[in-house]
Amino acid sequence: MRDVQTAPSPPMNTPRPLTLQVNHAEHTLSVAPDTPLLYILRNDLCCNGPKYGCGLGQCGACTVLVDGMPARACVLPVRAVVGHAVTTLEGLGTDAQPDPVQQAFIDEQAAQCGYCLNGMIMTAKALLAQNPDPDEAQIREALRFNLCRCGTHVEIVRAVQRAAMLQRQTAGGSAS
Amino acid sequence: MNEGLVPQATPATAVAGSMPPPAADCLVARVLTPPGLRWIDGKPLAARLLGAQHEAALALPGVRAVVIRNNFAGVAAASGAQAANAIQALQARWSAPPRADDAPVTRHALARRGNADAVLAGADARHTQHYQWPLAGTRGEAYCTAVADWRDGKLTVWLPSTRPGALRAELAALLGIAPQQVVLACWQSPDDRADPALLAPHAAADAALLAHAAGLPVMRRLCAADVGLADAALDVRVDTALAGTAIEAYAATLAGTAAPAVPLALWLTHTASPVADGIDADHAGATTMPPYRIPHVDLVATGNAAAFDAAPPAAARAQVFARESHLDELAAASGTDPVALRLAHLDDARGTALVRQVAERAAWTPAAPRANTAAGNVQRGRGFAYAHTIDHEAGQTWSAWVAEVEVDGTTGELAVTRVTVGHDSESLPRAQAAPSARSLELAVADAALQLTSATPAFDTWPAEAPSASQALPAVPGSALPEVRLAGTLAPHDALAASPTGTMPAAAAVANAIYDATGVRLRAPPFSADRIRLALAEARPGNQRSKRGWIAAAAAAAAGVCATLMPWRAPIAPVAPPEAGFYSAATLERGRLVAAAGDCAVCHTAPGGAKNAGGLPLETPFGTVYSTNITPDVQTGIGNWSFAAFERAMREGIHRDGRRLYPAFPYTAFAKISDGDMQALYGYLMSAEPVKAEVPQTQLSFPFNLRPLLAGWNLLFHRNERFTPDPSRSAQWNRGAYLAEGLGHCSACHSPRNALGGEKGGRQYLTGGSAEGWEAPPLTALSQAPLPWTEAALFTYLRGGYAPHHGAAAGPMAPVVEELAQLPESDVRAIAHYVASFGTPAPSPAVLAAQAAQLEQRSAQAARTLGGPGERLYQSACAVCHQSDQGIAQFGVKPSLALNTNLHSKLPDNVIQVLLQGMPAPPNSELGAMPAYADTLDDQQIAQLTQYLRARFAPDKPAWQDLENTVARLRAMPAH
Repeated sequence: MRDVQTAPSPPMNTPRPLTLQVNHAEHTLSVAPDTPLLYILRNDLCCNGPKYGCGLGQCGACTVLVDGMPARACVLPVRAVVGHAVTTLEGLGTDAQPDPVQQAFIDEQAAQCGYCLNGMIMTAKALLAQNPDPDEAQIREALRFNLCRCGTHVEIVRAVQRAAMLQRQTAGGSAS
Repeated sequence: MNEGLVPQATPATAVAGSMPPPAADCLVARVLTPPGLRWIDGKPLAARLLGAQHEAALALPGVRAVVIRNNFAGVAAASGAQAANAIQALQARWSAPPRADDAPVTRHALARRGNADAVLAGADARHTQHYQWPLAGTRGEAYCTAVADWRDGKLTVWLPSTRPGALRAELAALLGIAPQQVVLACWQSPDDRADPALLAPHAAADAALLAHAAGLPVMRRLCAADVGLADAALDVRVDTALAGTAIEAYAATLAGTAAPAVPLALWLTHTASPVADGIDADHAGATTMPPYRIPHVDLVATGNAAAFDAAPPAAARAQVFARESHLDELAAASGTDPVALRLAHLDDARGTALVRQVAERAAWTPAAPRANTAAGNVQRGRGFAYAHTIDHEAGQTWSAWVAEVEVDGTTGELAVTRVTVGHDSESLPRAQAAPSARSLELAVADAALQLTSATPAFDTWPAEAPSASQALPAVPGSALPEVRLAGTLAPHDALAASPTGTMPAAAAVANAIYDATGVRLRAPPFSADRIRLALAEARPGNQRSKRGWIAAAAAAAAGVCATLMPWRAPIAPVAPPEAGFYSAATLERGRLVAAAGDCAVCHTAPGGAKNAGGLPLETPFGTVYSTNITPDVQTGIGNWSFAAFERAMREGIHRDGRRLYPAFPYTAFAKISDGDMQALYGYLMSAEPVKAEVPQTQLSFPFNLRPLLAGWNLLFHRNERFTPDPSRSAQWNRGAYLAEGLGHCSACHSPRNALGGEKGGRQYLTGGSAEGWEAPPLTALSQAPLPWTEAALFTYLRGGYAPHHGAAAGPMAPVVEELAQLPESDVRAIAHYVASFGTPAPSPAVLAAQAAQLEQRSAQAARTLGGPGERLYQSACAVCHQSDQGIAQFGVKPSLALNTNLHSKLPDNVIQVLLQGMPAPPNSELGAMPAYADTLDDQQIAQLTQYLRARFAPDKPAWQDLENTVARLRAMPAH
């Protein structure tokens, strides 16, 4: 006989109430804990900023911030963010008052098809939180795992540089 | 004694009665302990901080302050978890810990009379002994708390006050403010158990630095290990020369680690200490001079004498313990009564009077025959010790103790049954009202009980331990000692408050243990396992092992009788116990036992009710379905009596007499203690009954013939309870009990023979398999590129991830989830036990250097690799696994160059993780890994696996036949 310790996945595919903190609001939803976070954000909470790209965590179009860190929402089970603060593109700014990073992307006209921009903006936001004054090489390094098929990389890098400048101005303005 | 160092708060420096802000309003501080920190001559020897990610830590939620100054790195955050995250995010890099100078050890004379060296050299009867005094005492794991608040240009610090004058100046220097801006308030957190004299200044300095930076109240809790003092001890070597019964010469050498006087934070921030605590050596020597008429005395300190002077309470206590123990040894050697020996050497009238008074009060009669064997194997004894200290403010103090003890010769348990205390002092009695006799008794009893350090039994669960709010660490089953008072009797509060009053306590208890058992303990604490070990060593011949052998043989014989009967009788069904039958404490203990035993892991089907069974277990002999262990009468164990339950757990026999397959690890559960077994039964029977039929287990011939298991049991099963190994620590035994019994680690991690019997002995824990996963070796045979240390094992078992090794996946993930329910100390004990099978761990600095080397080697290998494997890696893996590329992501970025699985002989675990991912790591902070079973085909998984092996384990041979292995593992049913 073999005595085998088995690995039952706990029953994570049946819905149960989970409380999520998204863009500073609490939502309690009955969902299967294994569901990718992206599905919940787009289908249940109508946050359509994060995009469904490859669905494999490879292109970065679905990027959201979890506790300020970028995360790929298409492969992150929703149970993993219970107790953590999720920020989507909608949580950055509004049409009337865009976040400095969003404003910079508008100013630099950094979009062609625009599908990757959610990931670019969210990753740039995380980068600037950690490094308020990145040089071009650091920007390219931070964005290397976010794919863009239109080839607007040059504009995107310029937008992040501009965002850094805007953010410093805002910070300087609020401090004085 | 130096009054400035005695825990006393004067109104000038301390605010009495003031309370710190409530804990909920305080930030929580965390401060990095430099790797390899230790203290030499009152100065810390520590690695230098080379760099830390200040901004990354500050950007995290809840973090209010990050302070990095020279080698000090600390954070303050709204919660403990956030502070821990921030400390991680600092990613501190340290230099290698410096070596101690090889400069010759200097010896400083502390005091001298006559010419002890010459007398000792020419002595006929010379006695030499070493004594040890642990600085953290019996409370090495205990915490000390300080709270600091910086507000309106004023720093207020609440701490269990000690040496307030010096600390004020030090805190002011640390923050660059005037000492007048510092207010110290005396306050002790009710959870604190540590010696404040040792730890409070360190906690206060950390709290002050972070409160100053955050502008909010900050709470700092630390234990001895956090400031490098966990193993610190003072060593005292005593040499004496006897002429007849007279002591001719006495030489004591003080060495080891002195309690540091200046807070660690001052050293780390390179703040010069404004306080010169050292007092002139002549004076210090005078206070430690033996209070006896001995013609030749030599007191010496090795290393920096000022360091010992700066912390006299510990140094003086160590000296008194060593001297009074040694005098007892001399009395025994010369056949003199210990009290008579002291009186023969005492000149001082007041001291002589006190000793006589205490001896009389304790009914100490030298000639009395020692009726020291009480009921059973309990031995009684009594011990005497005396101290006389001179303090330049408080004057002279005399104290004498007679301690009476009972020692259980079998278990080593020690009970201090009665203490007679005499105390006399020159200082004027205080005007305050004396505290009640009760509080005085508590102070004395506490001093005595601290030394006994009740060792928990291997099956003690913390739920049963006394709650932290209790005044005393009461030994279960032993009452407080009876306290008698003698002496000219200083007012009660002088004794209760005076640290000198309890000076003779340790030696008195040690001498009493010797009187009872003939065993001499030369280092406190006198815990049960130390006493038991010393008793075992002292016994002539090694009776213990002989008796053990006979017991084992008898047990084996009983086992033969039991297991040879292929058919066993059913045990009559009973009605389930009524609700409320078991106490809450029993149910809680049962819950922990069930968690440690992972019952629910196998007895719960995916999506099914907890413990209702039905999980299919794939074995080489067929599929076994787990059973319903809820108290349902028809389909569960509702009508099982305790006898039936226990028989199933220990012998693998169903209530109806059927034999159970050893897929149910009764081979391990037989080791469970009786108390735990009963609590587990109570817990399971108190659960909600669930009616659930489970599929019948149908194995192929001949394995379907359950009676054959009688033979299997005869070969492979020993129905024996766990017996602790007295030569090991209580923690090791606790870990062994949890790992061998309840935790059944070896069920997966030991290899099995062709019949499915676990291989023991040398093959114990050398690696096995589970559910298509490899269960790696836990011994020195581990293939891990970096050795698993006790600390890494604990981190892994507690949080599911160890940075130098990887994350818990597959069948180990639910085990870690169950372990999360156990108290931290139990998980530490398991780590301690498992680590004892590995190779000795190198220092953290060596490990870090090895890790860097592995990373570098893999980066080198990466340059020569390419092809489809490389493309798969770059697109699917690199974003989360390449810590040197891209931006930090939510969760961990586990290094593959250090991953244990990639260095294993078998590719199975790597392939399993790629196929199944890690959708639910035990701890959500780790992030998650997606499954690639549906997106990559067998060929791609094989290519990727080959690439990972070549890149991250370049010195290991390539894995063969990968595509077939992928196909085989993919075909296995996953739960």
